[in-house]
Amino acid sequence: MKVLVVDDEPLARQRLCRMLRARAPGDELYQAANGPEALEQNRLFEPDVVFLDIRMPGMDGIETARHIGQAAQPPAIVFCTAYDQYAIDAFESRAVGYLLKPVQEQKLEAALAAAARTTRYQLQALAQDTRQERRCLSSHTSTGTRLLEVAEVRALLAGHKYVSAIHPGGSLLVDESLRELEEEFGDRFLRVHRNALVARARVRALHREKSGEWVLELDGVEERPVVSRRHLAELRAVLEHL
Amino acid sequence: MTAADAQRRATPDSARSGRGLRLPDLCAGTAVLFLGLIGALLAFCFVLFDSGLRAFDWIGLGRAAAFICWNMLASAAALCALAPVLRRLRLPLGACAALAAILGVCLFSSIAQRWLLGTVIAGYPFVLDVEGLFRNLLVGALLGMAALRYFHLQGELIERERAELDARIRALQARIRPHFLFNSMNIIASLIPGEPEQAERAVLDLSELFRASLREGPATVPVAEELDLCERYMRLEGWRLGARLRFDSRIEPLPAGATLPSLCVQPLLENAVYHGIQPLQDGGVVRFEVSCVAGRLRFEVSNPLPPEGVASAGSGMALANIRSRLAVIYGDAAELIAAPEGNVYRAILSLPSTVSA
Repeated sequence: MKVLVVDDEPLARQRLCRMLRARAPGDELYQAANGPEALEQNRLFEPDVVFLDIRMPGMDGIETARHIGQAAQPPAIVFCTAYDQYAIDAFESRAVGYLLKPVQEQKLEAALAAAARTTRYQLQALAQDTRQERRCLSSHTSTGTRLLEVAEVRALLAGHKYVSAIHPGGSLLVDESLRELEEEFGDRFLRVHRNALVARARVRALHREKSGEWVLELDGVEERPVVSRRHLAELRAVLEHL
Repeated sequence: MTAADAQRRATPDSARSGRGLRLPDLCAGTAVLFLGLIGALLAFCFVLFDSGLRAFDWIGLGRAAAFICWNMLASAAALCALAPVLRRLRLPLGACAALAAILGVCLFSSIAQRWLLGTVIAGYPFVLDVEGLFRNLLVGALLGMAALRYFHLQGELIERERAELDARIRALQARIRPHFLFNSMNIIASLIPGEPEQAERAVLDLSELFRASLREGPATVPVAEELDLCERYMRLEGWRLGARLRFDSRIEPLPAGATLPSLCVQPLLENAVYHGIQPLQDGGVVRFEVSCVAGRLRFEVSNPLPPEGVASAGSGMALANIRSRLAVIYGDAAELIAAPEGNVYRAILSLPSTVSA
């Protein structure tokens, strides 16, 4: 079995690895100290089980799980925490595996026995329970996982099959639908068209083109998303408050 | 406020919390000033009633003001001297004794005034003015009773507020972050097989921190004790966060015997670690400077400010907690400032370096 242990505290990683090795000396063990490292290890080694600490700097455990869970064959996920009543309640109600630190042997055994694939739906519900929005969007391609901070995104445009996240460095194809993204990041993004969300804080100006279409100018990118008639009034009201 | 005052405020006094008469400290400068002011106003009222506006008796005002102020200040001095005795008496008895003291002062000063103004200065033979004396004593008794009642109610109110604050301090002090407890336990479990000596040290550090947070005793401890707790706390966090946590501490020599409220510096370090270092993937440096300048102890803790949006809420509670404890013990003499400065968050605690007797 291949196991990935993710925790920002070196001693905590060490102890879990030691327990896993004592239990099954043949297992392949991998370690990561933060979310992005975990995604990279996950892609390279395709573990069967991932132990994820919840409180980590930058990308926390639940967000890391959501990015990992987007893969076609996601690993089983077991969350670890020292104390986090909200998260524990959420794990209980969503029937997601978790361990409390310091981890006990029998509990570890039970968690491994019960470790099943955590579905994308479960992970999304978990994020809602713990009232967290992700800090990054991710894109999974054959060459690797690319991460993009949500704060950098200027607009989300739905294309034929994928949604592309427009940012000053280019664009990134993401797996979620525009509706899912709007639900998660409703405070940050505003719908301006059936196929476009724009970052509220990045809107610079509203123009009318010669063709009669209204378009938005955004901070730091060339793209000019089109505003549909239906959303124009609402957009104007928001712009007045900026 | 003096050190002795601070100690008195901090430790609940069993005698004071009895059922006796409550009196403020009538020897204090502000009390004397207010009594003088009230005396002058009373004199003004009496004379105004007596002579009316048009023929206002300025000389009478001077005489009345001198007499009333003398009476009030002498009564205050008497009550101040008798305060330890009055506090031990039961309430009705204490009140009667206080009133008797006031009437005694009034009797003496009435006779003295008549003798001084009538016999010594004007040269008339001394005759006891029984009616005037009785009038003075009646006014003295009425005003004295009103004042005592007021002092007593005010004292009870202050005591109740202080008791509530004391209870809050104890409740706040016993709060240790559960996260910290379980993470520390996890560290100890990790250290036991490979580094048993370090594990033993971690157990000792953790137990000292717990002992301090559970302590119910004097509100203040020697500074060295608090600095020891800080060191233990940072060692535990150092094991947990590894190379991510760098600690740079500079401690200047402090006056021997200086004290401060227990656990009012360690939470500043805890905040720095939780809100400054932990959210940073590469960690950072917590700087800790302790000095004593111009009779004031100064503790400065600074940490890098994590990028916007990462900062977790909750540091305000620890700061408010420390502030309310400082307010009980030092009044306005202690100060805790915490604010971001550029990309650094800085907390500065400054308090008088009181030396306990």
